[in-house]
Amino acid sequence: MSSECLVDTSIQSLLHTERYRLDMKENSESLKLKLNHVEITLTLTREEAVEQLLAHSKAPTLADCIDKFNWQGFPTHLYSKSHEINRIYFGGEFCERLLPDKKALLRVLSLVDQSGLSFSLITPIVSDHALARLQQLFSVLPDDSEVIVNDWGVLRLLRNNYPKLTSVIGRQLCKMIKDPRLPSAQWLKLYPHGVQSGPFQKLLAQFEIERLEMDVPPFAESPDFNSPEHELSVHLPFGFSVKGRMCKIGAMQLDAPRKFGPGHGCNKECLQYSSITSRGCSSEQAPSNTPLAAQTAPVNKAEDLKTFQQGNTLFYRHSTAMSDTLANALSQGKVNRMIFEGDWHEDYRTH
Amino acid sequence: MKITAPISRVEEIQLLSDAGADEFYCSVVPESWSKQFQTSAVSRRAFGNLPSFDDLARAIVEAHRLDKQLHLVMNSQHYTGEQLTCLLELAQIFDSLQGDAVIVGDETLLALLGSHTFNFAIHVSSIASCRNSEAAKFHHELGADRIIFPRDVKISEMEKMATECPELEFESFVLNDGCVFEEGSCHTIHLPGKLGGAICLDNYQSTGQRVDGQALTSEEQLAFSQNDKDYQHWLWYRFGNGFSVSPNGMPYGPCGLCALPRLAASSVTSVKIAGRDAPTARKVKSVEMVAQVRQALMRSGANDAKAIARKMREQPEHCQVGYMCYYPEVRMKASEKSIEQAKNTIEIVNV
Repeated sequence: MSSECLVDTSIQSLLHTERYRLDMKENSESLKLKLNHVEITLTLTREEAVEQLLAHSKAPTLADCIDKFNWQGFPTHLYSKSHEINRIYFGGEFCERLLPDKKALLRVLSLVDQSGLSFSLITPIVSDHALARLQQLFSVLPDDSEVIVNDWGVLRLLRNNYPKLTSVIGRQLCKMIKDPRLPSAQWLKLYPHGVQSGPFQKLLAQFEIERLEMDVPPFAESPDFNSPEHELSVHLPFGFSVKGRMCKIGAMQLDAPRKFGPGHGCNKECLQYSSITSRGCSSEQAPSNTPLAAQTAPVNKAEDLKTFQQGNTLFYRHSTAMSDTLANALSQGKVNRMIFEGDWHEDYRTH
Repeated sequence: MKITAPISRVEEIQLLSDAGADEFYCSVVPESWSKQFQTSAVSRRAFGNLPSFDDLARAIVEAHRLDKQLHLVMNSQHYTGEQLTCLLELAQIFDSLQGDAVIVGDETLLALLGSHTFNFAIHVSSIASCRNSEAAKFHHELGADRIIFPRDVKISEMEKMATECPELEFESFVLNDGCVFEEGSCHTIHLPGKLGGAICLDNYQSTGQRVDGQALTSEEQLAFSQNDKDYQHWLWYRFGNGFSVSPNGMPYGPCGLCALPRLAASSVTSVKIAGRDAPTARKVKSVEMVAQVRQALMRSGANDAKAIARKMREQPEHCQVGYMCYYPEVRMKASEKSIEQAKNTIEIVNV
């Protein structure tokens, strides 16, 4: 992207970011030390990934994850790779079809327990059918286990039927604009989020929620992470922008008439494939030889966040500025749990 | 079963009532809101709002004169504390004008309104992604009287929720606009066209990859390519058959007309026509279509109603493909011949 593509506000933002990055480099060592007070969590979707990480390693570190899951672009200037993993998230965050069965969950629980790690079951928005599956899973979770809730119905079920399990409000219930294409922070000011609003805090208090999760929104600022009444977990290095119930990749093996409908079947292609996604930076670069594309072709040249789609969800990678802002929030103690995306990421090639 | 129709001008109420509508929904952006927040984000619409409180008052009077109901939309996904205060004032005004129901998409706003004693009913917007019985009960406990099902819900799932929650009313989409992703899980902005428009219409290109890092086989490349073509085909339908109307002037777009008999049998209270910002003619035509099928259902039963629904646009091949359906599970069974026929009549464009 050339600099003349940027609108004025973006230039100012970039300059500010560069100054901030210099500061961060100077402070990076002390920041790494402060991470000792932060819980390091890993989200895993595939049971094999849990085995891969824990079968031979009693105290896995971030370095093990980089090695085993082929993570790219780990921010070594911010975080030490030697940090040990403290907690495993397992389940399905975005699709009920990815929820494990009871036997798989028990196998994972055993591995996690043997490694001395904490465990959270992560759950998506669900249908009634999946609620029944969840009840089977909840019934085998040890008391005081955490369940990450992204559906208010799941929260109600937990509170009424499984009071010994701890509910954490997931990032899908902490709603905010996370469009990877925004040309400037001004757009976010038109649609500010309400995670810190008094009424939202009151709603959470009504259900005795102690912890909530959020993404790092584009153009994040330190106040985005203010959460005086709740402990705060943040996902990295990816946020999600949009999620469908329809799953393009999941429809791949279906006959054409059965594709893309509500709750269509799949072969869990999301565990085998993903897609790197991008759009042309400018209308000159974008193919616009079709009627609808011509109507909607972008002419802005601001830099998009890097995106990829896995399953039904479009994810974006944090920009350097967003990573730095999160690191700053961690150093200020605003965030006390980091949730690294384990086996889902944007580039699986060996490098 | 009621027909719920959108309005953006008071004059539309008589026209839509004559066409068969029973309930109307609209939005208004208070002047104080625009001044304070510099946005129209009361209800996710920059256009298609009533211009003033005077119009809102007139709309309520006009609807009541015709023995119909008027609902006010406040369905953004999230609001700040200041915005919630402003919305509470708007709700008080609406209540004093004797409006019938508000439509909310944010649980925080729902809880806030539910904690006050208003005379109007509270409807939960499709934005809230209420997809299971527990979620319906959760929203009811916060004050909801009606749940508007999200777009991507199967009729069998609606039936389950309606059975489990007899204390609630339910509303289902029946005509017009479609979302690619789940509305409640879409955290993007419908940007101006020159910036890319809606993300589902933007010019994103995707490159598939295997998560084991291996290259795609030729069979896999072929499967990706075919799936992309099918997806473009589906998008074409999702966006109103390329934003067109049928040869006899009927609106295209996601449709649930032939599902009306089953929806009626499922205790669905009303069916919703989307498109507050659509032209009046489109709204009138849409209401007429639904009313005609409803009338056939009452007079001569489900089979006749379905037959009328499928013949209405005089292009039953589009129905057979299934991509135009809100509820493809009740569509006509597609023969290979009809699918080929439909493909040949449709210009496949790269949306």
